Amino acid sequence: MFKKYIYTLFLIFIFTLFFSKLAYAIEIIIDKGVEKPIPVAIVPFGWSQAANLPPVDIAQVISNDLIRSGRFSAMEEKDMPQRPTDFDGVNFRDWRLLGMENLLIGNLAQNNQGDYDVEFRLIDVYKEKQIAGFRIPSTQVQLRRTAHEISDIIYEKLIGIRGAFATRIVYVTVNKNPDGTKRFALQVSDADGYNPQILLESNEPIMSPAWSPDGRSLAYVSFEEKNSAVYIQDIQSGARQKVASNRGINSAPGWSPDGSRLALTLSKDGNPEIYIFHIASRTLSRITENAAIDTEPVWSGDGKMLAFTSDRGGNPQIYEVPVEGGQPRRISFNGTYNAGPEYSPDSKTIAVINGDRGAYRIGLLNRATGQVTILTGSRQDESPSFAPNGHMIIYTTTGARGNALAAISVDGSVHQRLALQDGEVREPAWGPFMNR
Amino acid sequence: MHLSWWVRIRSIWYALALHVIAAALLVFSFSFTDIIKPPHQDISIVNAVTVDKSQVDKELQRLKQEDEKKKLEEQQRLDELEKKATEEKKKSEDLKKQRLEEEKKLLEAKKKKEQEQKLREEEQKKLADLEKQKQELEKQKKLEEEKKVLAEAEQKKKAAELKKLEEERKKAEAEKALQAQLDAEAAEEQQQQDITLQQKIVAEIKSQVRRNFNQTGLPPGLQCKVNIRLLPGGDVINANVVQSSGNDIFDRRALTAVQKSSPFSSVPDDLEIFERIKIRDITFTFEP
Repeated sequence: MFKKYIYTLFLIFIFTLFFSKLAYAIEIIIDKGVEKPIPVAIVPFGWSQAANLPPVDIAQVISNDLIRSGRFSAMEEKDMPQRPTDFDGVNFRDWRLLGMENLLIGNLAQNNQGDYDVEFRLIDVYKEKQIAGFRIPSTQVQLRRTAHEISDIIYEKLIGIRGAFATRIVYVTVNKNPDGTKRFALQVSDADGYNPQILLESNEPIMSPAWSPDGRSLAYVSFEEKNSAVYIQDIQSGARQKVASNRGINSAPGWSPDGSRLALTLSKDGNPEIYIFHIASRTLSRITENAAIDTEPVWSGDGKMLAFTSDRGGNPQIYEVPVEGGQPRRISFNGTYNAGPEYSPDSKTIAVINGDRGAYRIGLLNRATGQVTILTGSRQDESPSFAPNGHMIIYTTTGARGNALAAISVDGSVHQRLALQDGEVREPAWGPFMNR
Repeated sequence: MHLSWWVRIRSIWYALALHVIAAALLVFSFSFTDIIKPPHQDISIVNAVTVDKSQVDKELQRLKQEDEKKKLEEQQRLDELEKKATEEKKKSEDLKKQRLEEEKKLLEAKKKKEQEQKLREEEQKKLADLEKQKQELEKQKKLEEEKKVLAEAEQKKKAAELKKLEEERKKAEAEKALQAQLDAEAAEEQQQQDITLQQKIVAEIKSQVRRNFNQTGLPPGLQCKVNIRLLPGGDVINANVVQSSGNDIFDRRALTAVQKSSPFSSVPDDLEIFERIKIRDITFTFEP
């Protein structure tokens, strides 16, 4: 009897084995996905005063930010199935039918003091759950910035890396005076080009603006005294100091990550060489000594290396040298021209201007492999500068429509011209994160 | 048979003759009794006429004498009659006796005959019985033989039937085995088809989820598992991250990829097929 039972069990076991060819719990491995913009809908914010228009269309500012990043596709307002301003008002099914994954809803309210409260919720449509929710006090002047801060939060919550929307950029504009001479201006604006602020104007060239790591100061080159000189200027107060005004060339300041030093290109000793200027002690130490031109020094993120452009090999190429000095090592080999290096925030890549057969484009130089990946496609692209989160590069482009500021995502997916005032724009530099 | 008939006829003749004689005797006796009928009916009539005593007495005396005389005469006549009757009676009795004896003789003869007849009949009967017995025996024998034959036939038939049954059983078994084999083959084929279908659907589900798995901005080297339950027609119910990557955004993208793919259009609506291909429970491992 027992034997029979065992036998039956055995048969059942065999039978099960036979049928287990049809896996009951199926396992599917998703070994790759797609790289495409993340769908997000920024619903127009509720506004407490129906009589007046809100001072800033916060939803629009955020949408533009996200689109510009290349990582998001923001739904147009006219395509939205509804415009909820609170969580309970969200009809998730309708949004899912449109494939919408993320929703931002919020309210703008003016308080008794005339200031503003911006409250918002970021919602996962498929989970039907809030991902983030904040209330940010703001003022009329700061409302755009508040919107950019919301963009940063969305970016961080959906991409995993802090957004760089509530940052600023610096650039030089060149306009014509009434007499036909050139008018140079050093300007700072929000990262989206809004709220430009002129820091310095001159009839002589202004060049190579560079942000201090804390974002409070700028170093730049000005020819206002006919000869080039390097200045450090406090943005808020406008106070400035001249840090290099030697004979010959004084140019291309680059801040050390700790903000205590500047790397400079000086030709005071003959031909352009790389020096380090210690701000506090106002002392110089020479890094390169070479018959060729060495210029455009920048600091690696860890503060240990300097990258610069040198034509010691015949053509301009990128070299690296330890900050304490030593033998520079060539690191760029693709193309006949690589110049204008800029470390990415993680220092794994260096953005360069790559010249090949007469076309100058923005490329990414992989420090480990030496390979250059070309990001842009125009013929005259210059002055790449990383956003502080490393996801975008701002640069200048000269094409059929003239010279303009442009931004590109580091994966090359989105090129965008930034809306700025008329005139030529030169040498943009993306500022660091500012404390929230 | 011939003999018994003759005997029976003769007996009937005797019987008839006896009856005729008896009837004749009866007729005779009846006529005698008619004669001895008493005549006193005429004598009892009296005329009621008044007369004088002496005369009456005289008359009475005369009448009395006369009556006695009459009575005597009557007595004489009666005696004579009686005498005559007695003689007659004796005669009749003798006759009767004679007749009885004859009858007795006849009866005895008849009896004898009957006895003989009976004997004969008995003998005959015995013979018949014997014959009958014999016949019965034969019949029985024959019956038994027939029975035997029948039994044998029956046995043969039974054996044949058994054989036939056995053959049929074997045939049925063979057919059953064949059917089982065919069924097994059909099941195998069905299963093969189901496996193929399952693989096809799984491949389509995989490509659908891949298309919806957005890797934008995700760091490499992460892995998470998402388990889902499917309904016929491909609607996803109960999608859960069963093993987190530790990265909230990665997990959410994976979950969204699956939920956004719902319904999986390649999943059959038909419940039976759906159950057969065992596609209800799926675990996705996201490891780009």
